[in-house]
Amino acid sequence: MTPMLELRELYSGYGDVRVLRGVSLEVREGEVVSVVGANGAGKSTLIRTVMGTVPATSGEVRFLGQDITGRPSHEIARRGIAQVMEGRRLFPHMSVEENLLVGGDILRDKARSRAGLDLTYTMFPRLAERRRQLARSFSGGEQQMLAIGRALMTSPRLLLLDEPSIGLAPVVVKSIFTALRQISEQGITILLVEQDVHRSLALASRAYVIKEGSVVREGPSAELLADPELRRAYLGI
Amino acid sequence: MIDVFAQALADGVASGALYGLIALGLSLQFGVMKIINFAHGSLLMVAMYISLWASRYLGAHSLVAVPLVAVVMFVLGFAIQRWLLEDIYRKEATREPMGILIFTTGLWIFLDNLFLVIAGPDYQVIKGDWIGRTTSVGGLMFGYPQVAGFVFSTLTTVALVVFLRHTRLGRNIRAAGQDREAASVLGIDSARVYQVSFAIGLAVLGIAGALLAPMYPVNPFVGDIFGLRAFVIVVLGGIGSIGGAFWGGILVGVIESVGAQLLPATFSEILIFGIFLAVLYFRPTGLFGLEKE
Repeated sequence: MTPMLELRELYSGYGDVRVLRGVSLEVREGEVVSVVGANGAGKSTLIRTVMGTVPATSGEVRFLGQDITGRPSHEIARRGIAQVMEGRRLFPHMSVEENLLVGGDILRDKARSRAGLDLTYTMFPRLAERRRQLARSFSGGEQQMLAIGRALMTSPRLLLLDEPSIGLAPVVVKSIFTALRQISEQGITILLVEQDVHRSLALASRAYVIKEGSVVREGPSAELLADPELRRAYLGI
Repeated sequence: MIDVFAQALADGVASGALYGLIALGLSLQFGVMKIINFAHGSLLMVAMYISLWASRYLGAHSLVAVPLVAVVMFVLGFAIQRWLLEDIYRKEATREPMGILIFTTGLWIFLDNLFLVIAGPDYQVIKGDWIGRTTSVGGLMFGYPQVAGFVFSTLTTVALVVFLRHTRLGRNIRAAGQDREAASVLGIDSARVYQVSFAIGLAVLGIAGALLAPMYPVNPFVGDIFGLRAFVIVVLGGIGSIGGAFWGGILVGVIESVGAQLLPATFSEILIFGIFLAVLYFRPTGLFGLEKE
């Protein structure tokens, strides 16, 4: 079966700085796959290269069997990939509901967008209570829920998450991961980039360990967690 | 004496709404694309000539010319963004769009001189029976073009706010203005948004030009003073704020009109630019603290 997302020997970076050095990985439909590694290993760049916001210098990104390398981000989004960006990146001068509606606008269908809004409010009741408030008045955890909700509003096949737990209190991180599990159970495929190795490997079925822009290990999460050398050398746990 | 001031105040509000409308397109373009369009005043001049020619050669009533000028300017704005500014903008996506600033400055000088060749240096006026008529409201006198200017400027401003707040396209324009990358990963084509925003900015400017043309003689350099004033208004109102542009326009109109009753006319420019400098220094986000669109 063709994987949903496939990266082949992907290179990318910023200007003269090369960050990804030949990354190959795949995500199959329905999976939760995690990418772990130290700060600066290239995790965020990986997500951004898939999404087209950082241009690939060589290699290939394939989604649902089609080459999407070098396509503009908005087109990649319309094909069914949504990204929860690092730092949330909410629209600060818009209300909660408007932020969500921007996500739903991609569907070009008011009724479906409304239905998505109801679903999002069911998943995150906190957002429903505060739908008229400006997003920037929120706590970090609430903002992250809104960022995830906004990405889901695009009705994606594949959800990319870039450090969803960063800067959040442990209790909030727990509820974010609970939400991610629910999202996965709804059949949405997830590629997760995360510093919290324990939680992300607990959620993911498989994982890739990257170091200096290359994949150094891959395998089922349980296997990676059980490997003492790996834990010490790459995962820092 | 009271009457003189009341009249000056009302005149100031009426012309101020139109000043605000002139500034609105500039504010929208800056708010969405973060570019400063120095050709704004010259494009107002172009709109005034289109209005003049529509009235002279097509025999159009100058109010009938308003939507016509808006459409022509919309198309012009789309074309300028699509074929002139877009490539420069894209090359500068990761830094301050300085090239746009220099390019539009060149466009300003180019357009002024182009129209000097096409239309000649003389002031030209739109003729029409309605233009000289006046009406009185509560003891104050207003010219018909002045009333039309106030009413249609206000309506256009309100329509633009409603469009930005309550339509899908308007929401997408605001989203791209607030965070371009976040908007694009949600499926918004920012290049298209910029084309439409620039076009809407010029369409609004076209409406303003067509409303101004019956009141103000047109010559190739008429846009310079209004363009400069538009920058002042955008800064006073808060860059990127539509409501701020409206109130900033009213403020400038009132200062100009009431100031002229108290001080020699040259002082009003000193006053306006003095306030401009003070706002930039003490309150660079604008006077009104309104929510940016």
